[in-house]
Amino acid sequence: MVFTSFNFLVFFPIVITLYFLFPQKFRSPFLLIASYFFYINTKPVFAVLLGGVTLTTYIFTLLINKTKSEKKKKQLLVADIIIVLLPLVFFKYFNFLNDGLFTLLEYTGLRWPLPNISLLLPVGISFYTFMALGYVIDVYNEEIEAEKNLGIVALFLSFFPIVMSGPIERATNMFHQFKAKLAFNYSMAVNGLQLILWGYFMKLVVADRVGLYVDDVFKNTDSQFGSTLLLASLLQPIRIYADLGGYSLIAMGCAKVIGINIIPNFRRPFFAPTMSELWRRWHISLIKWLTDYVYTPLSFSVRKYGVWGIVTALMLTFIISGVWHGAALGFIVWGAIHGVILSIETLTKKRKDNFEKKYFLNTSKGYFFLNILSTYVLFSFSLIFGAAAISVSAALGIVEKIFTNSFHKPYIDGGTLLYSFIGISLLFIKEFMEEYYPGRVLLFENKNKLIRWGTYYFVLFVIIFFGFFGGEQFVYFKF
Amino acid sequence: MHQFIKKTLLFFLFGVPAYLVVLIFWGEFMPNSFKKNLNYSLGAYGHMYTRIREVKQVKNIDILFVGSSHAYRGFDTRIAQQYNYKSFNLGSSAQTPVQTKFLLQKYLGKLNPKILIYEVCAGAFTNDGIESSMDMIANGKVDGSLLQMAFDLNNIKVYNSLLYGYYRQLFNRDRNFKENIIINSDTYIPGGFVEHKMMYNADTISGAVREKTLWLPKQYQLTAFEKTVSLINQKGIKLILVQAPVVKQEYEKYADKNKIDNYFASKATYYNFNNCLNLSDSLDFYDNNHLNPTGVTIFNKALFDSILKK
Repeated sequence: MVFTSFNFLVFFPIVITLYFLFPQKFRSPFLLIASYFFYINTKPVFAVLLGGVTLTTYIFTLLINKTKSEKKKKQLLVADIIIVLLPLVFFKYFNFLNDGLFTLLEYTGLRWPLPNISLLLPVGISFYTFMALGYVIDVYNEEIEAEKNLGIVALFLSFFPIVMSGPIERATNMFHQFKAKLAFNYSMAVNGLQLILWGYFMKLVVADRVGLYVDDVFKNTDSQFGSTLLLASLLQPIRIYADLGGYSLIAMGCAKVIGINIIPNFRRPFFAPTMSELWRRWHISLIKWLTDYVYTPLSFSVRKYGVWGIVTALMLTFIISGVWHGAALGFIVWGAIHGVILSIETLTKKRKDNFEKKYFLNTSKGYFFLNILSTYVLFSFSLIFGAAAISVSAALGIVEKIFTNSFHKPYIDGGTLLYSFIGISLLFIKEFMEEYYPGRVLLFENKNKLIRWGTYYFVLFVIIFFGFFGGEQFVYFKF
Repeated sequence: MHQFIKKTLLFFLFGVPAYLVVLIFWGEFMPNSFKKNLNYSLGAYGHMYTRIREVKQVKNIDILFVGSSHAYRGFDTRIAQQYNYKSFNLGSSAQTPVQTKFLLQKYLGKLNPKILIYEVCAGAFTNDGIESSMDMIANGKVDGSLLQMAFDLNNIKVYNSLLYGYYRQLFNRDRNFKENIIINSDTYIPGGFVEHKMMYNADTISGAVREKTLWLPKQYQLTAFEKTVSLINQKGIKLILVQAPVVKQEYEKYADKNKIDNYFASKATYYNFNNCLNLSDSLDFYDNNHLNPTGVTIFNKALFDSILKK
């Protein structure tokens, strides 16, 4: 079931009503049933996999908790990581690895006998696998006790607002909320519905409209001018942000109505003046996961190499981030590009700070704006490898065309771009006010009911009259 | 909790009339470029306005034609008349099985045909049917069956257009509208056929090769089609499924043409005229999808000679 489907608009109010009608002790089990029902709606067989990952995680965390020997604990951790990762590797990377081995062996004259398998990637597998891994590592690090109630672990991994596309939650944040006596909280419910409304705006008015143009262009790059490819490349980050950001807001909103707080996934990423700042604002749950479970242990183990150790850890972390996004060389290149940019920023940070101080640039609005702009352009460029093209050579072809064939009027799909412009403008104005004038212009939170409700109706009508209702998929479903 | 429920109900209580006001304002005053989600184009294309008004006067015919533009531009009711068949063409632009089902539920009883010729364009089954439903809403009468069609499609564009269409109908806002018999190159022929001015197809000259795709019909279109087939069978009407000719380049776009043929052949008597007519892509068509008057004559004669005379 997808958030933008009519089925979900029926499902959610029913779940909420029943949830609060049930006595406290039945609420968590009911949420678990509702979550599996939600997940099964995509493809029932995928639920078996989710169940398997849940059971494995549950058993291994209990075993790790019980074991006294550090060595055995470590063995159990490694075994769990391998077992939990197996389905992800099989479904997501089998063909990629198979192709790689085939090509490699071809050079030596050997033949790789395994044929490629046409597999449908189970929705959300990358997300719940990372959540399961995070939980077992937390138990190993003794940051959390292993949960004895299988239902709580199952609910954590299948919780319907986040099971499809995150945010990648932590057991430390969720378990105590599932176990708490959740009473209806008026302000949380209202706030949740506000988030849902804005999430739908981002998805239907911005992401899906911009996506119409972007997909149209990237579907057939050979026949496009460089200027068209440039325009589509510059729109791509907005599309992805509005898509996953919108999804995350709907997820957060649904959870809030139930009375559960989940971590925010984005914080106005396009106002970041540096790439490191952008990554503190973009897909926060994934970056936080990678920081805690990959970057920090890695940089700790290579700290003797000083700044170069940090660079190595950064590169590896972002390459892993690329691999997580997809089984293609393009994603690895995308990750590597970010590793390189962040490494450069790390290595030059002191000099840059001194330079800015010397020429009073840190107070210059123009300079700040230029930094925001260049960060955005760099990010757009990286996405040519990570989202636009199906292969590295195709991505390079796009880049080449942008630089050599851009002196033409780009392809303008008038209606779509006009609608996109309206959506992007509204999104930008809201985020601009929140970034630079927080609390100055209150709309959703205004104490005046007329303004507050007027805003709700305005956003609702913008969705109804400007939204695109043809596509029911989210970009991150394929991850 | 009570306060929340009370406020939610109030929100919707104010929201519904506010939505209707905005909807009417949008439909009446906004320029067309802002009406992507509210498409109400009276007499826009394909003479549906005139056809719907004419069909109300017709009853007890021999042949009823349904389908997309291939039908209303391909089945000439004057040629049927030459073969002594009283016929009506209920085709419409981009008509998909959902709309065909709706039209048949509405008019089949009165038209009471002996034969139904259903033009089964493979593309109609992959289409979402939204644009065609707009055509029905703007040019037809908003009633229960149209509402049923809207529920089948379940799309906000359709609901917006349906409600706006109902408002226009209620206040008789289209009373002064008259559709011309001749619009650009099209002439409406009584009986529902639309004749295109004699032109030749220039598209084929470019010889562009289309990438082959697989036929991926939408489930709800298949369901609507199968319901129509069983409705026709129940009524004891002879059903003939016809795939009208298109240019080779267009016909070849599906990699799994056999699957398409097998599907239709399993449902009723089925003729694919792409395989049995010797038509010229440039001389017998005016574009890649539609026959010109010469092509229509060849196609119709073949249809009535070889099928209906059997």
